[in-house]
Amino acid sequence: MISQKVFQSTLKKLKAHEGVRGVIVTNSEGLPISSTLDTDKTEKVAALITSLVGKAKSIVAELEEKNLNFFTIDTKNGEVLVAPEETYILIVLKDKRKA
Amino acid sequence: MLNVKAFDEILSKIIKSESGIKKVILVDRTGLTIAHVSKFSYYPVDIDGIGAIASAVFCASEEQGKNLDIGELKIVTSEFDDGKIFAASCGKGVLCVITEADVNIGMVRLVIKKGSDKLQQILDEFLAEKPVAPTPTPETTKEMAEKEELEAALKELEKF
Amino acid sequence: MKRDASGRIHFKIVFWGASPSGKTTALKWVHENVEGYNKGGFTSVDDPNGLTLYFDYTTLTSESNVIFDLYTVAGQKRHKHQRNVVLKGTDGVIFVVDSSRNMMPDNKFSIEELRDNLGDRLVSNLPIVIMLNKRDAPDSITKKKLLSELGLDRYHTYETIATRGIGIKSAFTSLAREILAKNLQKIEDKQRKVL
Repeated sequence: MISQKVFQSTLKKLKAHEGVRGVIVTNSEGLPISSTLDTDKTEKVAALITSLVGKAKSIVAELEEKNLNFFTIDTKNGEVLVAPEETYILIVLKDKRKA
Repeated sequence: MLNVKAFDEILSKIIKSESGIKKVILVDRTGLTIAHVSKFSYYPVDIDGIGAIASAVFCASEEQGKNLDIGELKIVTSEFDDGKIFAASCGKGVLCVITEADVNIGMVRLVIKKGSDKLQQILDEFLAEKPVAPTPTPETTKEMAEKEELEAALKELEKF
Repeated sequence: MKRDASGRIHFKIVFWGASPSGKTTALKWVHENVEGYNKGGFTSVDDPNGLTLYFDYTTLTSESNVIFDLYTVAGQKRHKHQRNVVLKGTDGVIFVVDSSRNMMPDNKFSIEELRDNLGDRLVSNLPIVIMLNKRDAPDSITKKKLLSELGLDRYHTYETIATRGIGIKSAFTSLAREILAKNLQKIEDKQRKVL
């Protein structure tokens, strides 16, 4: 278990990256633990991504690809980066990288 | 005339939207079960009794909130070893969602919020009791039917 | 009177009274001895001693689409808020009086609370039936005295012994009949206006 201090500073570092719109940490039940976005958006992202992580995990297991470490959703607006850990999920929303 | 299937449609949509949801019940704030859908119809429970408690639990919490002056009640979540119960305000009704224990709570909350907005509208129309009728005829036939039902119930009461 | 989404007509009836005047016993008797109507399950929210904590609930369904939703309230004084919640939207009340002499203050408290809660609805003649329960109690007060002291002279009154089922049926059917008749009257009045 990481300390609150390390946790907060990691979030801060992530938020400081160029093009990062938001950082959300959610528990495995889809309930947000920490977020840099407003409540409505946070709850929506946390719920939907948690649901997707569940599906991704079962796909990975079915394909016998061992553990799910990370996935990216590439969109017209940018990227959604998802890092599922054992007890929580780290989600970063990012703008499209400038060429 | 209000399409009573409208309730079933929304409740079905809710139950299908997340895999862990087992039952969805719409009750009013007097304990009356208005509509309900279940994923496993063979699972026998007394829905009216479940609905009555769901409404009562929600209203009790609401009362508690009033006494403590902490604003409007939105959702009551009850967590059990093998399942969860969510009861959410939706206008004049209470939307009750029964799930498995390991459900995506965030998703359930999202689905509830979306569903309750729609339900609130139909519920208002439904409870207003007087669907807008262009002519008095449909209203009169409804009353005739109502009258017959009440008269029949009166007769049955004599057998009690 | 209300309809659910399947179009069935519902009437809510609440058994009100002090603890332990016999509300739950009376409702259980109705549930166990009903004939003619179809009965639903019996739901109780009670404490480990069997005292009602919140309410008991059961349904009676007629062949003709009419359902009576029957509730009791928790009689102990501290459950005031629960009683308010249960009373909401009721179509009729059975007030259960405990005939024992030492229960008089509790009966008084209970009827006062009911009057406070019903407010205008009491005046607008909400159907109410009185059950004078525990008529077999050794120190029971006379019917006349009970009614006058509680100010209940103008209602239909039944002398009952809930533990033996005496008088319960008459009290219940009397209230159910009054509720049905009242709603029939309402419809007839409306029809007369249209014609």
